[in-house]
Amino acid sequence: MQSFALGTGNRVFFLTKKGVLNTFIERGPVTRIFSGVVKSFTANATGGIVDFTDSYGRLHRYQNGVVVY
Amino acid sequence: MNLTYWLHDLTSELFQTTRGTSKRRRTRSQKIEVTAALVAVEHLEERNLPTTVLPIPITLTVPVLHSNPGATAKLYLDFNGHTQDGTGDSKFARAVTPAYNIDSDLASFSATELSNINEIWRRVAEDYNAFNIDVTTEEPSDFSNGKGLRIAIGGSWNTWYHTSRGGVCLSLGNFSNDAPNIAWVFTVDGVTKNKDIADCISHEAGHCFGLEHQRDLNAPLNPADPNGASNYSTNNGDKNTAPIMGNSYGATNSYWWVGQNPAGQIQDDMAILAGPANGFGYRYSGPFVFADGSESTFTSVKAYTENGQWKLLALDNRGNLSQYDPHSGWKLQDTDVQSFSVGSNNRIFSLRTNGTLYASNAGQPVVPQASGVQSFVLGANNRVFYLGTNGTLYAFSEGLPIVPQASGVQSFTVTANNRVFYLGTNRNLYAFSENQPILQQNNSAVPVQSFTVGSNNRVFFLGANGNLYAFSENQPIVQQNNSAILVQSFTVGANNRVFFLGTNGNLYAFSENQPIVQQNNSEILVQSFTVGPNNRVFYLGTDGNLYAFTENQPIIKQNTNGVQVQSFALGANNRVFFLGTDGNLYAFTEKLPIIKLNTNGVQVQSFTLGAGNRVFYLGADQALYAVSEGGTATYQAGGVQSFAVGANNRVFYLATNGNLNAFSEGRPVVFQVGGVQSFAVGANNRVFYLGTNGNLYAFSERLPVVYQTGSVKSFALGSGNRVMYLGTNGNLYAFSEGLPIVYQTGGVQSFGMGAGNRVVYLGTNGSLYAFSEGQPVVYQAGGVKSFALGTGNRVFYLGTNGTLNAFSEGQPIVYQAG
Repeated sequence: MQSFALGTGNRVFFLTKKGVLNTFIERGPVTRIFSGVVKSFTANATGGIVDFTDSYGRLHRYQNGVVVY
Repeated sequence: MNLTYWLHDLTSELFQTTRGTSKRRRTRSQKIEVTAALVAVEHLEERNLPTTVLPIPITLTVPVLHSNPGATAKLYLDFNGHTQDGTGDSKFARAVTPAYNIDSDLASFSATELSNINEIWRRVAEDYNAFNIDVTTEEPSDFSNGKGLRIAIGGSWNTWYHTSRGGVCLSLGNFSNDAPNIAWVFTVDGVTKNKDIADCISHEAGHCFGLEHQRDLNAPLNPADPNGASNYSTNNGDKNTAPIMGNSYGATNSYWWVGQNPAGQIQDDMAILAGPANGFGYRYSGPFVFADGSESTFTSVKAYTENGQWKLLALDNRGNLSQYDPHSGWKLQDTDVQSFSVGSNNRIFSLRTNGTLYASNAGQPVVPQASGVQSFVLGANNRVFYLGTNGTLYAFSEGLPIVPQASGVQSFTVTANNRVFYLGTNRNLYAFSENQPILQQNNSAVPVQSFTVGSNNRVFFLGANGNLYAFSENQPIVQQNNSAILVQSFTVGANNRVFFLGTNGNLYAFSENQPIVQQNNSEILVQSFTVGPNNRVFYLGTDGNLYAFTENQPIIKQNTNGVQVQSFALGANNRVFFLGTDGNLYAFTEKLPIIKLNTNGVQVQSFTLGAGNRVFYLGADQALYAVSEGGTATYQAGGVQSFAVGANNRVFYLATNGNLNAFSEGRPVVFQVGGVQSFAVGANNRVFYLGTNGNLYAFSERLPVVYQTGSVKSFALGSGNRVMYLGTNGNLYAFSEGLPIVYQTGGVQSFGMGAGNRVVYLGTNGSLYAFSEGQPVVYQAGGVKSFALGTGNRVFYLGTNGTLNAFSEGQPIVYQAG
């Protein structure tokens, strides 16, 4: 694991060393957020939005279960 | 022979009373009025009827009457007979009520009986006309809590109850507790006149809705016998008016009352009837529709009685305070109001958003009383206590000078006899009565984070050391928790039942001098909890599910729509609001459908529940919205980074340009300060913020910004406006405004302050620690690269070995992912 961030309701976002961005709630399933390789990510102050950059340097935004752009 | 005398020349009243055995009951005593000439009182005979019971003529046709057909809650006046089994109490095991009857014909209603039914219904409907409940003679299909209450009317107390009574309610508050929703009124012998029967119905229904008796204020307190004669107020034998929840048989008019219950506590009947436990609230014809088509939302409604007529005062989300008279409709009373209170003589006190306090009577001009007011409490005899924006507590009565009482006040409460408890900015707890010394209550060695005054003026407070204490004035302070499990947060529920969340993530409950009982299943820890009416507990588990339970009963999962919960809040009327992991905001009442609130299509990042169940949320479009159920989400502001809702739904938000702004709905946005990194709103809407220059400041609106300290890397605002901050030198400090800055520890990389002002920090040595001020620092884990402190003080950390773990203090560390 490279890094992690905590969202509201103790939702965890984490980035593996292989560039896989996942999320889960304790005891719940781990869900992959983006099918591609993620270079880095940041969660905003409220934890509801995760911005991340893919291996091509493109910026994406994940919010509430979907990648919106 | 008639079993009762009903003579008009009242000279004395005798009551026969009993108390329930296995359940708490409230009964309306049958009254025997005697004249002076009567030398002996004939007591009601205690006789048992044969075991065979009267057949119930279910074919009797009762006229269909509704007072408010559209209302969800139904108060059913059952005149055609009813058998109630399975009440869970042997005395009520099979309660058979024959149809209402005043003659020898049990098979049909005579014209007189039908006329009586109509009059009784009309009288009860009048008593409940202020509320959003339907008084009806048509049997509802649903007798679940909040929906239906049956009053079985007819028969004799001697048939099965065997105790002389006009009526009896199965269990106090059974409209919202687990007992069946039923009460009985005995019309053969208990009460016989239409007016008395109606009074008795309203009275017993009042018990079902949670009302206790209105006691005789001239008699000594007698809490041990709530059905004793002194706990039925007759309003000093007034023949004109008397409380419904006392003994109103001797008065022409019976009203809901503001007085004292048998325990001597203030009981505002209408406020309890309209309160969250019952859920039906007041009946009014709002909300207002403005010229532009927008609607206002009531955030607070208060009932009062004037010249025998109930009226309402309602404050809407735009600051309009309006009065409702059922005969003349709505009239505007004041504007720009943030809070209000109605005192004796129906004097209205309204605090405007500019900090000026006014007084008025309905329909009369408002009169300014004081300026620079943060908050106020109306004490007995319309004595006003208010906290000034300068942190000084004042008191005054209209037309008399304003008298300073204490300075350096964070928060305060006024109890019976205008005894004031307040938390000082120095974190000590004090109590005083006017013109008497101010007495410190806590030991200075244990500063106070927060406090609550429970029933019987029992004070509970959370110490800065994480321990929970209780005391009564002039008595020893008693620690309540075991020191091995510190307290994150606590709530004092009904009957001084205390619920607290331990630092280990478990939820506990106890009554003083009784064992502390864990409530949650240890498999699922608790992130946050709240206690609703009747001590119904809602909590968010670490598994992302929302649960509810009543002690000793099953824990029930609430998010039945398959959406996990990010955060939740319990609003008025036991309405639950939660943010789902799907980014939608939902609301529901237990056992009722879950509905979606953000119908404008904008997903939700975070939300705050304000007064009046007004929901403020930050959308994924970085815009701030407000919505009430059934309404449309209203755009408030754009370009929002984060926001906080303070007292009176005052909204503070940090714009993406670093400006901090504030507004109340429908009012202009007011710029506060610029160059803000982060901010927090504490008690009394005191704002703390970290400037982009690394300095920490505090201010209250319309007052100067006060520099607190510099070289700040990050800060957190805890309860009691306690500030914890990490200096750029790696040291951790704490302070309260105006008090010295206290060094806590050094070698800190990052920190978080959770509930109960518990601090978790990552040392520069890669280890995690936790402490409460004044308590030892406790090692938690080593080999830590970074960490985050979640709700419920759940700690997540990334180890230097690349694994993610989570734990609550004192609990095992749980591997999450690698």
